[in-house]
Amino acid sequence: MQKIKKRSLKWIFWLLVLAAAVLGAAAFALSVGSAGIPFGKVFRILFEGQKGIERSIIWDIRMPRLLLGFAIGGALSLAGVILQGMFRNPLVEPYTLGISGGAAVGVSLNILFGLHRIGVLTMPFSGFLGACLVILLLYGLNMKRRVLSLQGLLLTGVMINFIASSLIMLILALSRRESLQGIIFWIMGSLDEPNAFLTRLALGASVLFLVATYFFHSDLNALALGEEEALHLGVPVERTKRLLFLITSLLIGVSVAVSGMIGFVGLVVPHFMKKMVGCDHRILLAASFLAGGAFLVFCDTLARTVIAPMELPVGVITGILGGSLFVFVLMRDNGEGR
Amino acid sequence: MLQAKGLTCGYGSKVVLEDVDFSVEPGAFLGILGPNGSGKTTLLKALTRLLEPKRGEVLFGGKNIWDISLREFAREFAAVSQSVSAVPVTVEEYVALGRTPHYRDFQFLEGRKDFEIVAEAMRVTGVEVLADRLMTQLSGGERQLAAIARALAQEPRWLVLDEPTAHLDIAHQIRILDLLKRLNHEKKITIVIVHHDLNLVSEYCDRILLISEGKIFKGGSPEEVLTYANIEAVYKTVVIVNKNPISSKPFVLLVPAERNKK
Amino acid sequence: MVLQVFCLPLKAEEGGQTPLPQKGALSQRIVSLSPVLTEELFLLGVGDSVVGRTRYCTKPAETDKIEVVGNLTEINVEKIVSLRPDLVLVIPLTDPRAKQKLRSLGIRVEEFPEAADFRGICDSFLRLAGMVHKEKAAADLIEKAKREVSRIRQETGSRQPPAVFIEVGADPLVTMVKGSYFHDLIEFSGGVNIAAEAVHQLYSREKVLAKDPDIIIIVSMGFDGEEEKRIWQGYPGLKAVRQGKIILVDSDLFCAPTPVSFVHALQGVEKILHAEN
Repeated sequence: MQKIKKRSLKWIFWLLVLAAAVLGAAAFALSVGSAGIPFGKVFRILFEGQKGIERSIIWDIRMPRLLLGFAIGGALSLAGVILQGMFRNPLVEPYTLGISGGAAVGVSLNILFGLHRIGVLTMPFSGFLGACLVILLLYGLNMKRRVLSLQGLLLTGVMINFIASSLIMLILALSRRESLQGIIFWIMGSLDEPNAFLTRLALGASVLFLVATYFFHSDLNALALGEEEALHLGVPVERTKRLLFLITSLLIGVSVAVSGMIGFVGLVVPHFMKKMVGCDHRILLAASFLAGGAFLVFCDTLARTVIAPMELPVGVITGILGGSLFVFVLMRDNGEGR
Repeated sequence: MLQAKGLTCGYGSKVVLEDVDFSVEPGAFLGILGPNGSGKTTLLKALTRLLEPKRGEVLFGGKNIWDISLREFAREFAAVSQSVSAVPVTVEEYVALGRTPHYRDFQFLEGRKDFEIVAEAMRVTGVEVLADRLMTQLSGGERQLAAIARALAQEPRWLVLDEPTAHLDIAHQIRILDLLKRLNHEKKITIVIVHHDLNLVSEYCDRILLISEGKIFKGGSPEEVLTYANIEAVYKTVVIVNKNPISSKPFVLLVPAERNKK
Repeated sequence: MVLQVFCLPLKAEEGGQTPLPQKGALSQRIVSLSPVLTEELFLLGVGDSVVGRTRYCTKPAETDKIEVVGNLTEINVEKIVSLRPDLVLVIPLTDPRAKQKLRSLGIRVEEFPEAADFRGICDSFLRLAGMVHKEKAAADLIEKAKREVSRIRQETGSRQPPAVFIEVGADPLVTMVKGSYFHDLIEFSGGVNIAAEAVHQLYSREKVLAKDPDIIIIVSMGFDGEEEKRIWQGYPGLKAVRQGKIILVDSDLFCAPTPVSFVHALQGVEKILHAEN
């Protein structure tokens, strides 16, 4: 019993640390920017309702971006944890399955045919549609006799990524100059979503899926031993795989449709958090979600301040920071001779 | 009681087991023998609700096992595979996974009872000293014992093992089989093991099923099954069967080719 | 505060926290996200009202005192908002999300599509002038420009029109077709654009060889002009090569034209086309 108490304390400790990290990243994001608002003023605006143009900057520009960053970072990390748990492969990340490729093709086609002029929500919608098509394709091609083949999913996903890249190149070649910009913007990923509805949708969906995934915590723990072992432990493996696949796909679809491609978060954060808090999904799910949110918000803040007033695409920072972190962790692993 | 009736199974269009009929009484210690590819593992998969039969059925207490939910089944039957995957969790956490089928629907943390059962399982198998070590740091034999502990944490009445002592040294082999014997006698757990070592099976099991080419060649006590005629027919190799001087159980001696000529 | 945070992003769309200036009032603070528009604002004499520009808005020299808010495609919305503009001028290339965000904050955003020809340049100029109440100054400048253009057209109209290929991009080869002001530059100065009727801007070297123009003008925008010249000289069969009529021009003169700079460019092209005459 003592051990359980000790472990619960450890988990609570980590949750507090990560919550602090989230708040820290939020504070960083809200107080830093090219408008150069001093920290004291930020505080007054937030808590004492001070008015002025800076208020608009804090509430209308920085805050929505912060919320979206948290939502997307959390969603991608969560998807990464689920995928790495299902596939028992630490190199699997949300983009490996090709869902983001499908979304990118959807958005590119939308821009090519100028459909986005119809309305501002058509872009994320076409991205989501593209993602859904790939999801259906993945599912259809890899469901044989009521068994979802994980190996097949991976292979199909990699192939779809290749095909999607080629299709996008084709679309780029056929596009006019203005369209090119639009497509490339979107592919580079951005948390700069002006539509409040989409931001709230992303936030709501992320949190909802986090809660939903918690119903599978014991299944995910058991799956770590392998599908056969999990079956022996009474886990309905096929049903679990299907539902988790659905949750992950929706998480990725929504994230990519709203923010474009932001890589590495879904790969690095789960991996890193596993080293910090262990493999038990009861803590890993929430820990990765929080860490991913904080990480992305931090990267985004860096992206928009490092070469101000110019902004780097957030994917560049997550790539460099995330990539370096990943290599560092790997080297430490090898050093310890694991 | 566990019963197989007209059991026919295989993979895809391939049929591995054909029309298998047998039953196992509770409290038995059953050994399944057969050459490679005879269908032993397939039989085990069919019995542990992993592989659905093409024809025929597997009944437990009169009910088709496929009509029982996976969780309910896991509370009665525990299975130990040949190779234990090395996951970076502590032995205690690994054994605790055995409680999975017993968790209530929204249970998040383990209860006191779960904790006690896990401790008992580790004690019985002798791995309690390794409780805080990572599974990846254990030797093959220790991992196998941990796997048995995990199976015991399921509080099963039936324990099914697939080659539990493959790749282990003789000390570990005896240790594991002795443990299984104790579990069989003291806790009244029915044991079904697939094994390749004819003599160990003869020694420990009170019933043997000899499988050949997807069918049961012979079932019965070790004396009935382990005759040189049966073994030569199934394994297609020359043997001599003696009596073990200590236990009086059949003892199989392998005959190398050159000795054959004499 | 969590609920507040969740609901607030919606409020901004309904009117925002920033005080809205009256539409039509004298625009005092302008952010221009296009080098053409920045230059035109200075031409109209309202350079003082420009409070924000892109990195590429470098003409005239006075612009270097103005705050930079981004490049042509990526702009920093926060920076723009902090400059409290009452008018933001954008082009199609500008990040659509930024445009949307500015609009949702209640800031007036006016988009100027790329001018298709000389007439388009003048119309666009007039529209801009209307926003800063300098219609008279604009009209005068346009009048002057039109007169000069007419003069050049008349002078060159009587001469034998040389066939011209205008190259604005290499790898792939890009030219300008009818409906671009480049095309007008050539036609007004008495030349014939060999790619006038082409459907797409992407052109092939083979077609150029087939049409064998008298003059090849290379406007190096983002590629090595000298290298291109050498490539063309590798085809000694071309008339342009034999007569030494492969001309590199300063892209600055030709890109982003105002009515005034269009005329300068036109004068330059006239000289190129009719050098010997």
